[in-house]
Amino acid sequence: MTLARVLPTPRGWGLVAGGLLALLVGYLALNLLILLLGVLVLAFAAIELLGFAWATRSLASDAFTAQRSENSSQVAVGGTGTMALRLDRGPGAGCFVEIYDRLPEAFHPLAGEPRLLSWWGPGETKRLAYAYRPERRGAFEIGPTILVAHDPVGLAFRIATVETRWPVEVIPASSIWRTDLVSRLRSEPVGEILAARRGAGSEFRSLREYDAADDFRSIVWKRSTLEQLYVRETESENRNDLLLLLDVSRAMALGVAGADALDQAVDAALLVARYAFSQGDQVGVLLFTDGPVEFLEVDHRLEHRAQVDRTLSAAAIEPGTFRFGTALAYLAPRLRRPTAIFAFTALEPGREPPGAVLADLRRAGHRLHVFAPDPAGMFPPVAEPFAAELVDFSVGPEEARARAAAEAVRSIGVPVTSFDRGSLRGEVAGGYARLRGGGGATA
Amino acid sequence: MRLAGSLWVLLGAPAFVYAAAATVAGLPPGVLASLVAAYAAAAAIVVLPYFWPAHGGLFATAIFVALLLVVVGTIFGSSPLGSGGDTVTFGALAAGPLILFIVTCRDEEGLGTRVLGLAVAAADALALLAARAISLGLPGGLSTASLLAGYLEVIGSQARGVANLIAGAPGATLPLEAVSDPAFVALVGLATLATLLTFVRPATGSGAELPTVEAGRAGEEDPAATYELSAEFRAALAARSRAEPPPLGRLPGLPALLAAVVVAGLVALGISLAPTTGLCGTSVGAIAAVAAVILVVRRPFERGAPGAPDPVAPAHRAGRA
Repeated sequence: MTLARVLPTPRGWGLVAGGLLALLVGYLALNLLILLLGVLVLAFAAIELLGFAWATRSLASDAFTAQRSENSSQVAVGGTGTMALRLDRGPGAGCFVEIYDRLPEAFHPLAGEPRLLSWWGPGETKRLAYAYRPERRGAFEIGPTILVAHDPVGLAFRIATVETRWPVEVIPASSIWRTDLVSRLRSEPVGEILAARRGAGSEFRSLREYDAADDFRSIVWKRSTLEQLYVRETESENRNDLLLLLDVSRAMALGVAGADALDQAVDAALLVARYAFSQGDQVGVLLFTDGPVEFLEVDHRLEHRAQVDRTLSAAAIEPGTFRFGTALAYLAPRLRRPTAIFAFTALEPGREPPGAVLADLRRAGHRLHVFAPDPAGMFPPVAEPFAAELVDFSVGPEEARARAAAEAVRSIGVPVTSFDRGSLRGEVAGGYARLRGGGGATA
Repeated sequence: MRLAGSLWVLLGAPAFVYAAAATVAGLPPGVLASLVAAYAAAAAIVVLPYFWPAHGGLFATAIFVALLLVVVGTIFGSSPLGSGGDTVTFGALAAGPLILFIVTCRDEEGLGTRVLGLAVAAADALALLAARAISLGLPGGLSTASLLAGYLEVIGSQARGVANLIAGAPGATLPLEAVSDPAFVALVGLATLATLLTFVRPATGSGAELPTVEAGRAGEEDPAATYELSAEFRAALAARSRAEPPPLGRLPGLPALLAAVVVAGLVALGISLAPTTGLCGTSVGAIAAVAAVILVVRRPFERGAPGAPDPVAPAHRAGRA
């Protein structure tokens, strides 16, 4: 049982001090009127504080039971997440309690409230319900729930924390795999590129539930019901392995917050991973700085797909400098089949992968394609001429360095595609289409 | 000044206006007019900054400096106003308790400051009433000069008396001890009540109001109309708890106030019956009360709680982690 101490507020301390000083003035005046004034105030403050401590003696973390419901586990940036929380209280005296379900800063409440300030009698149940809008991608946590008992005249409070943590994964808005998005994708150039794959495999593997990304023609009508549709999964003869290598060092924070190079990379990686899975390909992920941050082996199983989603969505800038060569050397022994490696990294002159590592990759049949942010293209255009000149002045040297680094990588036979705001999905889709078509350069 | 602050100023002010009026009663009308002017000048120091935010503070400071020069000059025998200095000085001194009360009872001030301000203002007003009693016994009778002399005599005698008491010397004279004007006592009681009226509206330590009436449910925005929400969540949203007041009869702070009144009554009775024992008992009680509070708030976390919690809450930090 965790029971926090009573914490007097400045108002509470102030009243005790005021009462004491008034009593002192009474002693100096030695007048009954002033003395009684001090006694009255000091007695009031002391009795109220001690009474509050006594009334809230049962306010402990394990005096409450909490239950979450209607809670979202995965929400898109700018989407709507929901949360409902039921708190039951054991016996004890009633008091004013502020209930506060801790929300990450990136979450904006939309409807309802994650906070309630109310009288809470013994044995009563309190319910919070609210909808929120996440504004940033990443792995977040709602909770714990904090309960603050307030002295009714504001002299003190006491805090209890109820462990109600709930993880929420916030994915890029464009990566939601919804029917309307799939239709839209197919009508866009990116969708056309992605759809330009060769025919699906013919070797039957298993039946699985229909997904919005599946081709309508693959539904097995004989095994499907009105409530549940099934599709035939086939082993694709030309199934490819795709490894998404993401540089999560500080250099990928290039651009504006919420749409920086890493956000763009995650968005494109999620999109291509989901599409690759839907086409029967296998996908792996490596987040790397100067060492591995997280590695998921190339796989295609359902639980692995969810894991890829979670890993990419939660990718965040980590300390350290990206070491391209070390990352590839780390990967080489872990790739069992010839694999296409899509590396998303901010290239630096002199940090290109060593020839020996690339030679090893080539010998094993792996193919490397680098997607590097274009520093100037990562910032929104500035209309004001002076500001534009200022941006050019500050980004110009970075631009030159990035160009030189890209040339250096190209010179060792690795294709490099520069991307700016919004262009990466198209570039990656093109790279993936070439991979499906058997094209693309070899590392 | 906000209306809430004005309420307890209006209820508390009569005690100090009464003390000033009772002190100067019987003076010639011409002198009274000068006193009223001085009183008004002193009150302007308090009021100007509120009604004229742009330059009121500057003018108030200028008036305060001028009054201070007159008072100090008069006390040290070199008033710039000559004989009129006594009148102005006493007017300023008579206005002192009211000014002190108004300044310390503003909304911006903490409760402790208000209580202390009230106690000091009441003691100052008692000194004025005692000065009148002394002034009447001086040769030449009641005048602004004799009142001023009486006031200085009261302050000096009280200081000497308290010092003698502490040193254990015999024959201590305590002019403030003897003052017991029933009307003034009643009005100070009203001022005390006004100060305690601060508690009428329950609030958290940060000043956020606590719910005392049930929050209405009608006319609330229907979130479902704006956002895409599932039927289950909409049901949860509709069933969420609202801010509720305590059950009827549980007036926040009332039990403590009643208990404090009982304690004050016992102290009054004790001091009336046996002054020395009563005062000693009061001192011991005050020390015990403060010690008990300190013991409770310094009590370590019970049953293995992990460290001090972050005092996140108070209500003004709504909604954000």
